[in-house]
This record gives sequence, C-alpha cells and structure tokens, in this order.
Amino acid sequence: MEDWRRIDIDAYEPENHLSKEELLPNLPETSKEDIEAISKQARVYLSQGKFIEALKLGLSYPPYIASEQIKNLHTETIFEILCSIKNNHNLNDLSSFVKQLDSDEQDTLVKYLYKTMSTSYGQKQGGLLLSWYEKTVEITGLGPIVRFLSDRRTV
Amino acid sequence: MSAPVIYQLGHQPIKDHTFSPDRSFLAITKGNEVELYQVSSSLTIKPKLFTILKGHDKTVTSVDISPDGTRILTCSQDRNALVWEFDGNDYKPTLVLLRINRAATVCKWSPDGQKFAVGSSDRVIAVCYYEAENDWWVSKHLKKPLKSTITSLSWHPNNVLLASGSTDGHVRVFSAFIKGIDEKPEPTVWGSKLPFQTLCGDFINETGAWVHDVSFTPDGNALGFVSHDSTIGIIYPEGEGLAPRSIINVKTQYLPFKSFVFLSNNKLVVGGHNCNLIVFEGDESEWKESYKVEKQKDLINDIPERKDNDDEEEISSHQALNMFKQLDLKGRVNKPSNGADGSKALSTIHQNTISSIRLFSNNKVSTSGIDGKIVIFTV
Repeated sequence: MEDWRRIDIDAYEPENHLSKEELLPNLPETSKEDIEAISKQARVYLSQGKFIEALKLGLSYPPYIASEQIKNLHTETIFEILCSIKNNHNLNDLSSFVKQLDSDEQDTLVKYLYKTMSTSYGQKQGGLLLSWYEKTVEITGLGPIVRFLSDRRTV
Repeated sequence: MSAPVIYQLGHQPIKDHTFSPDRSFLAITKGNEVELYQVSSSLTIKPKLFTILKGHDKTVTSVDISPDGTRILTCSQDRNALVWEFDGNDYKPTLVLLRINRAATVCKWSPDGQKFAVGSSDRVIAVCYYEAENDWWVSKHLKKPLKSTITSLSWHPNNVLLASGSTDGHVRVFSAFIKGIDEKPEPTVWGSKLPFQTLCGDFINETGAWVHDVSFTPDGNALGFVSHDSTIGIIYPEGEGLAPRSIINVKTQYLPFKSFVFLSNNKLVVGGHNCNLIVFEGDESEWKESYKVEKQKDLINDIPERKDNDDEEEISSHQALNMFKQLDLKGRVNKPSNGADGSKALSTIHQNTISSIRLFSNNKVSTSGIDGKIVIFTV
C-alpha cells in the first residue's frame, strides 16, 4: 500500500466532523461600535485618573466572537490601559491592581498579556508587559496560564 | 493519618490501574501489556508480578476489573477490547466486537458487572454485553450527538445511565439501557423514560477545554468533571427536561487535573499534572478546596532546595567522573554533593503526572503515575 499514514481518513466521513465554528462557545457577537465605545470610555477613565475602573471595563468585555480586526482593536485599548497604569504608578502598585480584579478578569488579563507580547508594539514594551505578567502570576498562580492555553474563547 | 504506601513498578508510564474488589491483586497498564501483581493484605510487602496479559498490539489505554473480581477488561489503541477470564491455569482473552475504526480510549464495567462501556476516538461509545448463544461480547453504539474523542466514562449506580466526557468540552449523560439485560430503572433526577441512546443531559464547560474525567456522585444525583483548564465542574440536575438546579465551576490555580474520585457526595479528591492530590468539599451552593494531601512547594516561587554551601563545595575528580558517566548513561545530571535528594526534583511523591485515581477503601485512594509509581494515600 502507498503511504497510508497520509490518507485523510476524515474525508470519508464529512458529516461526523466538528467544524471550527462548532467548537466556538455560544456567545453573542461583539460589534465594532461596542469596542469603540469601550475604548472611548476607558480613555475618559484614564484621563480622570480612574485607573482600576478603566482596567476592569476593558477586561469585562473581551470580544470573543468577533473579527480579527475588532479583536486587535480591543487589544490596543487594553495595551493603552496597561501602559497608562504602569507609567503613573510604581512597580509594586501593580499587585494591588491585580488583586482588585475578580478571577475572570485575571484570566482575561493574562490572555491579553500574551496577546500583546505577540504584537510589534508590545514587543517594544517587553519590560512593561513582563512586569505586569510577573505581578499577575505571583497572585493568581498557574491557573490563568493554563486557561489561556486551553480556552477556546480567544481574544 | 498513616503514611502513603509507595510501589515503584518499573519506570514506564502507568496510564491506568485498578485493584481487584477484595484488594488481593492489582492490574496496571504498561505499554502494550497489562501486568497483574499479587498484593499482600498488610500492603507493606512490594507487590509480586504473577501474570502479564499479552493480547494487544498497541498501547493499552484503560483497564478495569468486574465488580465480582473474575473478569479483567482491557482496551487499547489497537481498536480492540478484551475480556480476560481465569480458567484455572491462565488468563484467557475473549475478543469484544466493538466495531470501531479508531483507538479505544477508556473502558468501564457497569456496577452490576453485566455489561461495560468502551469509549473511543471513533466518536462512539460501545456499550457491550454478553451474548450467550454465540459466546461472545457484542456491542451497541451510542453515536449521537458525539463528534469527538471520548476521554472518560462513568456509570450511574442504577446500571443504566452512562456519563461521558470528551475533547470538545462536553459532558453528556446517556441511557445505555439494554433490553433483556437491564431491569426497567426507577425514575431519577436525570429522567424517567430511558430507551437506549436517550440523551439525558448535555453540558459544556466554560472554556471548551478537554474534559479529562467524569464521575457521578455515589448517590448518582450529581455529576462531576475535571477539564484541561484546571477547573472542576459539578452539575446538579433539577429533573427531566429542566435546566440544572446548579452548575458549580471551581477555578483553581494549579496545573490541569487528569482524574478524580468522589469520596462522598460532598467530598472529592483530584490529581493530575500538579503531581499532588487535592481534596475539595462542598454542596450544590459552593465547592471549595479544603486541603492538599501532600505538602507541596509552590512551583512558581520556590526553587528546588539547595544546601547553603552548595556552590562553594568542591567535588573530587572521582565524583566528577561519576557525574559525567551518569550524564552519558542516563542523560541527566545529579550533582554528587546533593546526595540522595538530588534525584528528587519535586516535593511530592509522584515525580510526574498522576494519570488515574481510584477509590481504595473508605478513606484511602490509590493513584498511578507517568513515573511508574502506584501510591495508596490516606485522605
């Protein structure tokens, strides 16, 4: 027999397949307007010095079901918030910010830390992201990292 | 609390293990084979290997012993399941007609030992029973709406309901009622009319991550599962056709859990990639971590213990030679100055993932690990 290891056996049973769409969680789609509104509101909070409000807002509405473009837009918003907090506080204050988040928000924060590390603008601020990462994992343990890896709801 | 009993049975991974109901022998999977060990009642003597079951030609994925202790069930990636019976001299296998085209991943006897279920990556669960006229085990398939690999199975105490966990993050409860074998079951919280293949419940975890293990509570009125997102879920159904009364999702800060058992309706013990057992307690309003079975160092903050003078200490040329020999032979470095504890990397007994946990007695559980250990813990 020829190279049987390369035979795509799934092709013979198309109806039994799980498509990528089927694996996505059943959640409402996020529109561009929603994300822009959040971004605007977050900037208002930041200008008023309400840092934790801005962070919580950003992390409460992650666009799980949305186009890549919308997801990237929101990532930029989160990045802006993280930079702003870091620039206005000293390193040890980051812990208190992380502590004020609930466990869902902490999970989302870790997801965005990884995502921003993969962007070109994030890589220029590697030190900043790593200090956020260090302070977060110190408090949350390994759980959020495992959930970042296993969660099908990607940001 | 008595000290854990540790058996190091070779160095190959043990994917699954099970003790016979009277605790007189132990079956473990090892590569393509299953090894049977005689266990002393005092547990202090190292188990003695007395038989190797050779019949599969790919990795054995699961092993289970029937409730009366006479039949050993094994299944393997070679797409077969075998039922082994002792004929006075030796264990003889009977092939099961599974009719699946991909690996069998998990097998479980029903509580009365009349039938068993085999999960597979062929997107079916084969429910198997004995057909006397042909003298073999035949199967009926649970198919819909399965579309992914089955990782775990659990029988309800009534012998009819079967729970499955799969890699699409779903936990499902099916009826595996076989006409002519099962008595008509009493109605339960999961449903009352139960012809074969009835889907009595379909739940998904929050993240959609792989479900690694699933189990009914001892009373059968709730269902627990552990997933690859380091969470534990427990479902309390309200009744037929109604939304569940409560779904508990416990997020933890550990590495993912591979296996768990209920110690009672309100207490469970989990273990997995974090190499330690952790006990959780709760009810339908909340579940919480109550304690770790072994003391464990934090993997993030604590680096492995070193002696203070470690760096200064010079090693002799003889020790250095041994070190390089070790490196050459085993591919690892043991700093000679560390002595005995140098080889122990983790602070727990298991040095690698705990692959399966089984109830041993009222307050004891047995675990098997990728490190080739079987350990009996008091919890």
